[in-house]
Amino acid sequence: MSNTIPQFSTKQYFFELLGAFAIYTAVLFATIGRVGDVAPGSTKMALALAPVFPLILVFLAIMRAYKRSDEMHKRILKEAFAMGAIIFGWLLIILGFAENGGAPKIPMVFIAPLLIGFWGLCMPIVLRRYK
Amino acid sequence: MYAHRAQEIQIENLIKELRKAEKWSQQDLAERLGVSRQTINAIERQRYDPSLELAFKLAEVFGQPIEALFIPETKDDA
Repeated sequence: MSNTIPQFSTKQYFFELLGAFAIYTAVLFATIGRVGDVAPGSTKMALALAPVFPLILVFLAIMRAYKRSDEMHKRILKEAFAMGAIIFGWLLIILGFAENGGAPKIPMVFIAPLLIGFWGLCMPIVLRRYK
Repeated sequence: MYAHRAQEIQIENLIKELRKAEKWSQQDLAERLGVSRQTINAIERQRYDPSLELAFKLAEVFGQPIEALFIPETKDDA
């Protein structure tokens, strides 16, 4: 048979994701402080949107990992995402209520990266069930 | 009361025995099926039930009917 073997590797996925997040974080911190100093206009908007582009690398890393996966690993990725989303969702609800009590607000810009982070954290938990 | 109780069906498989009879490693079988070695390991350890498509592929590589590879075991939850 000439089937190609999916080349999923947790280590490769982790490092690709980590690299993409590192670039995203660097761009985010390089631009976020300067946005307030720039007068409203196209430059301000370009600075504000700059972190969106490295975020594409994060999504590409995830899509590559998914594409390389066979059916069991695809299931693991989906289960880990569901678990991460449920945990993160609950935390957001708790934080939402805590805001009424004076807790600081989480900027919207951190929601998606945190969700992806929770997804990654849940991966080893789900993986253990299939070993 | 319900006339029928919900029954859990656990599917056991004989993949490990069949693979060893063919003298294939898990990697050999994985290559024939186009999946990872970890997936073969999880199937053999009854940790993962393959999709219908993969189950038919397994039957094909072993040259056996699908029911010779998978044995449904009904567990009464009483």
